[in-house]
Amino acid sequence: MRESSYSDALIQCFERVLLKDDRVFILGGSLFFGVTPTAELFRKLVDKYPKRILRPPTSEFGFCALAVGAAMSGMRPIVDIGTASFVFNAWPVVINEASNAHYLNNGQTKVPIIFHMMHGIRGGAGVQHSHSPQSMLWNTPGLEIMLPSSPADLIGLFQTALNRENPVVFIDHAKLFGTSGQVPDEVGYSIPFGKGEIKREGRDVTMVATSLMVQTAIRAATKLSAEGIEVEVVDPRTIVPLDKEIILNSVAKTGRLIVADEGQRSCGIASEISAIVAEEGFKSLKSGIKRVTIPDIPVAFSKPLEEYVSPSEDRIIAAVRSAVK
Amino acid sequence: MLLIRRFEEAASRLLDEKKIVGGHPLYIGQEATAVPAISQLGVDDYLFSAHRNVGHLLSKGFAPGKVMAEVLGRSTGYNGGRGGSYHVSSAMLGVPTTSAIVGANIGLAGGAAYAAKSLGNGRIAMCMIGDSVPEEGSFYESVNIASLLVLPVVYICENNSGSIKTPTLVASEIIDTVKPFKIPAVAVDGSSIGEVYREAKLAVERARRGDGPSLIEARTTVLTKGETGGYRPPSFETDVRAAWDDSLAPAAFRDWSLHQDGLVRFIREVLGSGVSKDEIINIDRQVQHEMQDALQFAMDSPWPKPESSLEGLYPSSASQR
Repeated sequence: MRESSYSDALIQCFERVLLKDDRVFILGGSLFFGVTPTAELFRKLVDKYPKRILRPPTSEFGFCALAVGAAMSGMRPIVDIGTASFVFNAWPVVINEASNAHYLNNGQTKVPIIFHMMHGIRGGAGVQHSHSPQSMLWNTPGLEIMLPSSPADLIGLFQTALNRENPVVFIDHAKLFGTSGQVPDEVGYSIPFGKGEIKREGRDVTMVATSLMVQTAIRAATKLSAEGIEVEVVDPRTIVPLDKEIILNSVAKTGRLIVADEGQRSCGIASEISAIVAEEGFKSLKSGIKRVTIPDIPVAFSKPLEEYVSPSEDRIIAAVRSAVK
Repeated sequence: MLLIRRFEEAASRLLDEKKIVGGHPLYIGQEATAVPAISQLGVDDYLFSAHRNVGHLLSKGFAPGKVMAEVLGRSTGYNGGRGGSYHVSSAMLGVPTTSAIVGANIGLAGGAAYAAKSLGNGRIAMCMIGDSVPEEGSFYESVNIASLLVLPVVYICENNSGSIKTPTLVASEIIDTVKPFKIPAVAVDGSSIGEVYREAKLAVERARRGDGPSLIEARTTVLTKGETGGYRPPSFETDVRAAWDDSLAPAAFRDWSLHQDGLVRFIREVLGSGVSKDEIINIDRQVQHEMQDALQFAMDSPWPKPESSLEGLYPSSASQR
């Protein structure tokens, strides 16, 4: 094991795959890493592999359609959409071409494509740039969705994504780029899809969180520990396929469920996980399920407004306290 | 051309009998565009069509029986009944998907062309679009990208709107819409096999040479412009002898048949170069038999098993790690 920054981990993932597989190309908008501290690292990669990394025009529909067509024709594109909100410009391609092509064509056609996007509140991005579209994507059959929360998860999940024969949405977060963590030395380390991880063990409350929320949840759990409340943080790592077992087993142990998610409340990630546990783990529950999410409101620009709607440590702590009361 | 015509005449009767559910946009009257253009393609070259696809796919070598089975939703159809009329495809025949979303296939075709260019496999992509496509923003995005990347793609825009289409495009000509993207564009009479063949050949050669995309606007007639709930002409049966005997043109479309039908026009042209009337009648008879067999095959085919609706979302787990 060694220490690695999230950014270094991602660059190494790209470099390894570009060297290994001629069918892979990266299609990146000008914002690829542009809003993260690692823009410079990526620029160096572009200089090194000019033919394998394309910078398309500001045409999300157009370049996603190109990538999907290429994926149907023998290539393995990695498309960076940048800020997740921009996926809406390419929505028909993701939802109505990539996701259903294998089904529609009765298995004749595969779309081995990875869509990368950075979701959530990055700080001052405002109403149009703070979306977390993963719940809408979960509602679309045919897409697998990965949400790493650490450099090790990133490396492992990315390795699996590279071998999928269907579209994978890599939901990332700009704020993860400044983080670091322990990563395995093993070359080709992979984490299967549909296998979550207990990021922190606890006996009193199950907290399911994804992406950046995992770190928020762990910080909240550390504070709650001082009050004698032990929170178990469960990180599904992929929501499609979802590791239901790890969640249900944890709820069977604790009897209480909180789901924390950075999307808006209605029909969000937290809603779906809550419904699954209500349907399949009802007997385990000692108290009602709680969701900690952004309310059904856009995320405004001004700091006090943005902070007020964010699923913060404080809101998570309050939810846990009310669950154990 | 005859096979396409006989297929669509059969489909039209099935629509009358409500045996085809949903829509089936007919290709009658546009055969003279699909055949010469698509005949330039090898089996490995990519073809992207859309909802009005029968003429395109039969020109690419699709088996009429399996196309009809798909239109009827049977399990023996090219898509196992999952696609229906709008989405008939065959990856083996160079048609990986048929998207019915207006403005989507041009981007996908560019992608296939990009893959062919990157992988150096010598293939090109041909994309069949209709006259509404230049009203979608995606058209401009995709043409811009294809021109920038110098992609081996040929766009064939079948303008069948004639006088029925109300003006919804400011550009006075469809070929003008690609001027800013600096790709060659030419308009041809879509009912003239010779004109379409000549321009398609040039465009395909351009693509193969690595000189990038081209657009051909094929102007055809509005006889069968009909989608679900839209105008659909009454079913009729073409009599090939109308090419030399005016009285045999279908009464409802006499003028169109004698003066605008590319099929009739082509028959007259080949008669003029030595093919006999008997040979024409013979070919038609063979095509009609082939079509009858195809129709029988499709009508006799089983339906897909209901539970199979839950299968095939992802490639099998065996192929994934």
